Amino acid sequence: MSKVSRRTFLKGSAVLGALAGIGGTASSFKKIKPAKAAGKKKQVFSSCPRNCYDTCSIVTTVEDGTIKFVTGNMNNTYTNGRLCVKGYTYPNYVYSPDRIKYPMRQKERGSGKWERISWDEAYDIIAKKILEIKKEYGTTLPIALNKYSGNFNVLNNAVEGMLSSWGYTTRAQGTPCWPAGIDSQTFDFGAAVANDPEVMVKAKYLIVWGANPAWTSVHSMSIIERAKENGTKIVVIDPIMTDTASKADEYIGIKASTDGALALGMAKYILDHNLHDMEWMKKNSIGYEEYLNYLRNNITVEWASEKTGVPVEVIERLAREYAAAKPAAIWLGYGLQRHTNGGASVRAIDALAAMTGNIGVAGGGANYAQTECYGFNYAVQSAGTPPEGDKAGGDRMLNMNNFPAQVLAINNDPEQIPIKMLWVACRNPIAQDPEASVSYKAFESIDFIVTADLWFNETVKQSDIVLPVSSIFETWGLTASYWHYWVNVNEPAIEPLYESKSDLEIAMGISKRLNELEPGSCTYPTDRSIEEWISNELADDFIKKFGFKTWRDILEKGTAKVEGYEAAWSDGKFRTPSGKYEFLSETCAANGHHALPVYVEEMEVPKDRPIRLFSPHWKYGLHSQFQNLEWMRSIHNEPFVEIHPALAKKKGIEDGDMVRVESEVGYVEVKAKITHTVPKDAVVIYEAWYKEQNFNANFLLKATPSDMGSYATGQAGLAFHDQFVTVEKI
Amino acid sequence: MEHAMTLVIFTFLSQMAIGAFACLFFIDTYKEKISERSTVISLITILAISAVAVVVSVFHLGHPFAAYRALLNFGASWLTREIVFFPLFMFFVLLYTFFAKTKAQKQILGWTTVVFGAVTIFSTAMIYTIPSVPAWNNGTTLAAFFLTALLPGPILVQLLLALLEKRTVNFNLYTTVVAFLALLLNGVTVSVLKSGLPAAVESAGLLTASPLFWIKIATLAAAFALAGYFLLKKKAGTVSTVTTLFALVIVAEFLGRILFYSSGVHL
Amino acid sequence: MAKKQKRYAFLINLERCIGCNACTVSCKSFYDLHPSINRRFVRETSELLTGTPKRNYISTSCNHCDRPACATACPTGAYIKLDNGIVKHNQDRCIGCRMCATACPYGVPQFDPVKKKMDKCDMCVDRLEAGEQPICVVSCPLEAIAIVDLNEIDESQVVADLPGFADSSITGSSTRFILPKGTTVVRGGIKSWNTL
Ligand SMILES: Nc1nc2c(c(=O)[nH]1)N[C@H]1C(S)=C(S)[C@@H](COP(=O)(O)OP(=O)(O)OC[C@H]3O[C@@H](n4cnc5c(=O)[nH]c(N)nc54)[C@H](O)[C@@H]3O)O[C@H]1N2
Ligand SMILES: Nc1nc2c(c(=O)[nH]1)N[C@H]1C(S)=C(S)[C@@H](COP(=O)(O)OP(=O)(O)OC[C@H]3O[C@@H](n4cnc5c(=O)[nH]c(N)nc54)[C@H](O)[C@@H]3O)O[C@H]1N2
Ligand code: SF4
Ligand code: SF4
Ligand code: SF4
Ligand code: SF4
Ligand code: SF4
Ligand SMILES: [Mo]
Repeated sequence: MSKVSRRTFLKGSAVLGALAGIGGTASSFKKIKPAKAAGKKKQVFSSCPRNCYDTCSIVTTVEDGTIKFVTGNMNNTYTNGRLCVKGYTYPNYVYSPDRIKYPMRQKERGSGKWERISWDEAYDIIAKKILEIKKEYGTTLPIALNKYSGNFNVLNNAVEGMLSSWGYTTRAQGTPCWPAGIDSQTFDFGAAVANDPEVMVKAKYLIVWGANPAWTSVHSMSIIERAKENGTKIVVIDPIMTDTASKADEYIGIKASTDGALALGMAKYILDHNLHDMEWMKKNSIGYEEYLNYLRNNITVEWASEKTGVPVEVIERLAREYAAAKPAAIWLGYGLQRHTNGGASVRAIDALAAMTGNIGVAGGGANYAQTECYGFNYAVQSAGTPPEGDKAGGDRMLNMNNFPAQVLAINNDPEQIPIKMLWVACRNPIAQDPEASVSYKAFESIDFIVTADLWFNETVKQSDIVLPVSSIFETWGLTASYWHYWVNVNEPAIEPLYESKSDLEIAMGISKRLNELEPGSCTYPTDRSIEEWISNELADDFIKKFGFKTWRDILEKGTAKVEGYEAAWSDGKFRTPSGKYEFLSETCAANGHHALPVYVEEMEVPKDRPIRLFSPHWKYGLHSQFQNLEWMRSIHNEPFVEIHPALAKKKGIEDGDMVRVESEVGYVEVKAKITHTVPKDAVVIYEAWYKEQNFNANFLLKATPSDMGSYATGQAGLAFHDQFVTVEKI
Repeated sequence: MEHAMTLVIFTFLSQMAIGAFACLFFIDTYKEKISERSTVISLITILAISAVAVVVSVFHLGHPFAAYRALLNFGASWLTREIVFFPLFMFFVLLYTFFAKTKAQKQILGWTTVVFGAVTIFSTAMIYTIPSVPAWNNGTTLAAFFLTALLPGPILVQLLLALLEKRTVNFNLYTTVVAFLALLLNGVTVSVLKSGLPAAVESAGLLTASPLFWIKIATLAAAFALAGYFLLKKKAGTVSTVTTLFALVIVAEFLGRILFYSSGVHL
Repeated sequence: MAKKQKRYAFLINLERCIGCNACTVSCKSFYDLHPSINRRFVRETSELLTGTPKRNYISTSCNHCDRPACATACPTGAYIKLDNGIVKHNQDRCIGCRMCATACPYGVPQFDPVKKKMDKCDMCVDRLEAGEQPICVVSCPLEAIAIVDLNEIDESQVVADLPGFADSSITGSSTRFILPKGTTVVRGGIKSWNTL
């Protein structure tokens, strides 16, 4: 247990001197009257930049240069003045003694023998390595980047810009979150655009389909509760009786990966009973006849029942209720599409919403995601363009969802330009990628690894150089959500602690050193202040959307909403080739799938590993973040596997026993937690990083691709939930 | 755990001291069988044990130097009452030791001391007779605490006298009976816990699963057998028999107290 | 008739509570508590509370009891029951004997290993007096916690006892709960059961 509390923390710290100036930092609003001397206490707006639906706007209270409290910003009606448990741990996050404080070099990977170096030394080592590679290969392609979702602040795209400014490089492309579903919605609608989630209260009927907002989007959960109290019927479809399902009026414990069959079965019943909206289809869609014929000729409710395990009469009732309720909304979660047929399932659900005329309706929709709020200039990214003379002519793309195996394949193939250097930022691949044991091998095959992070996690442990990154409270930022329609600003609340720097500052620092060593070797600008960078991010027309005169206007409230999305697609202008909703999508067919939203068979359960493993997202963490913090550990600090009592009995496992869960690619040993809330033929292990514990769910995960993703996101997704294991008591 | 140990030591020593005084007072005042020197040395020993108990108990506090504040809630807190009564007991032991000259004085001071001692034990027991720990929330707590006074206390006196007076006072009947009651109490306690709230049932399980419990039973049984044997033989026993008896009951009662704390499952 | 004295109490809505612990952590943050101390506790309660299995939680802090066991146990009189129902702990008096922790049926008081004194929820009494709601109340993302006046509420709509929560009658716990509603559960059978 650490003895460092926030109050005592600063006393012994060298940053005290630097803090003196903070009170005077110009900020154009003051929400609280300074309690004592002016400037001693202030409140600034921060924004949670994690890969989270909720992307909260935060009010941070600073006293004497120390963060005292963070909470939600009332100006943002979605955040509603409240944060999730992770958000409330931010003071502990900032002042945790575990933070990486200085640039460091590790004697031998995994040894833990870190030696402090200066930023100058770090820049020098890295820049020389880049130049050495470039000299040897005539290209920077041997340098790879693995970056994803540790921080979605737009300024963090500087990392991509930084690599481009060195030359063409190898990139981990794609996304583990939503790729299959994004493809589906792109085929169907032309893009994924969801209704403003705050409008969910208007739904008469709401199906939460494969999402667990009680854990992954608490503010939406609050909206759902409000809707329920207004009389909206809430149905949750999920193989697990999640905390979201526990709040539903009705829970459908569907057999995993068969959601497409349920949607098609419901559609068939709706068609048979003439409950569909023919008018909407005629006006707004193409391919509906083919779709309806497919339903007529290929689908029966009995078949759907057989597939999904949902009784015929329940499917019929759901179909009747859903079709009758006007409007009826569906929220499609990302868990739903993490299957080998996940994209197909999403298309079938979209079609169900479309055939009932629930598209373009406030309180309706097939709501999956949106990227409408990302109206940034991405100046930090485009600032970097490959210098002339790189013979590669383009970046080399690897699938983020199978990164370790693809790196190994390249490095084991003498015909290919090897990967010699890896830059990791906003990413913890060893914890989050599938096949963790392959990750270790892939790392071993790379000469030089630099990781920029805040914590000594498993990826950092396998790196040569670690660079200390500042927290959101120590720098500027702009964030947008992929779910609600707010854009938030993040003002610095305190001076950077220790020697930490933002990724953007690091990009500029390396650029400077590269150009000192070899003028013209790096195109990244080095002369801009962070505030200048941020002012470059908001395009004029984007600023106008909010009714602002300058970007600084957002500092008044910390947050601004993009209006006009109460009912996405209400203008009937779809972004598909036909301009209509496409039940029949040629684009989809051209990408190797069916043109129609047909049922694609689910993955077969292997005989020797008959238990399905789910590894969904954890409530006290955001992937590998937060669960490691002391405040979080004081609530929960032990990984576990959820097992149904019937399966436990069969395996002789009692609550609290240690069990070994083994898959085709690895095993983990965890404590059993017996619960009726999981299926009898499946177990659940929540992915998370526990400090100083030898636990990583991804030792079990095989990099089985999902059906879609490559069209819109560049790479196929990962069938995170088509994983099969054995479970034995140790 | 280490903070429960201070409580184990305090309650055990204080109760033994109270029992020892009561015994000594009885022999001294009513049997008038012992020399003044032996009485004073024994009484000082009892005071010393009590003092150790008090010192140890203060270390249980987060703020030992603010211990005086513990006197502030006499109206409601059994802990305050214990903290008031035990020093009063000690004070009267002191008075008895140095100022009780006549039999009448001895009787008045002695009985007052015994009453304060008994009230102390009662207060200590009431501290733990609380609903939040079902295993403690019954008469077995009071019985156990008084038995600690009644078993090791007199045997301590027996030992002191054996050492000081070079003769053994015959307590065998008394010891046999009390050791039997102590044994019985274990059975009663386990069955009371087993028929209690789930937390008490859990306590019973912890208790009987602990090897310490069975060592305690064995030592009590041995004490009972030893005293019983000399009772049958109608012999007082030697210094070494008394030493053995004392060792046995000390082990039994001390382990008993450790078990009391460690098996007290909170609601 | 004279207006009755207020009896402040926590009302926890189990139908809304998702067991997220935002309440616990916001309180810990606001009061800069020692990392090992929590003034609020979120526990799982029976999955079968409403018949069909589902995840249920109880979030509680100090129950500001009518007959506070902590106050009876405390030798220094550090606990006072205020007229408005709040049981306040006066840390200046506390000597860290931990008796209150043993005596409280709900295990509420927590020992601060640095201050060597007890710590306990005071219902944010300073905030209440200033007309503000407690931190946990304003932080709960599901708005599942409320402060109510026991003299005003309809007791037939709430309960004082739940599985996993010590009997409220022992100390007259003032915390009240709104029970969760039942969820209709549809779950198909497992065909491959024998091969598992
Ligand atoms: N607390 C917390 N919040 C987070 C995150 C986190 O790690 N922690 N991560 C963030 C990120 S990056 C993402 S991508 C989102 C993810 O957000 P969600 O999609 O809500 O989260 P998941 O937990 O991945 O999956 C949701 C549900 O899908 C279910 N599921 C799995 N297979 C199937 C199926 O075949 N059919 C159906 N109907 N359901 C299925 C799982 O049982 C799970 O309950 O959450 C974001 N928010
Ligand atoms: N088994 C299993 N595995 C999964 C999933 C699953 O459901 N099951 N979900 C997948 C999904 S949807 C996702 S999105 C991924 C997420 O995986 P990642 O993208 O790796 O996400 P995080 O663990 O949130 O963050 C990675 C790192 O970024 C660091 N970081 C935070 N802020 C900054 C910053 O400003 N700069 C830099 N340089 N670093 C920073 C954090 O400290 C952390 O170490 O995991 C995937 N992995
Ligand atoms: S993790 Fe999500 S819900 Fe929590 S504070 Fe950040 S954005 Fe808000
Ligand atoms: S914050 Fe609210 S929803 Fe979360 S555990 Fe606490 S009371 Fe329950
Ligand atoms: S819950 Fe415990 S600490 Fe709070 S008033 Fe009741 S007895 Fe005292
Ligand atoms: S620890 Fe403090 S508050 Fe608790 S009983 Fe002892 S003196 Fe009273
Ligand atoms: S009322 Fe205040 S002190 Fe009590 S748990 Fe809530 S926030 Fe903490
Ligand atoms: Mo994600």
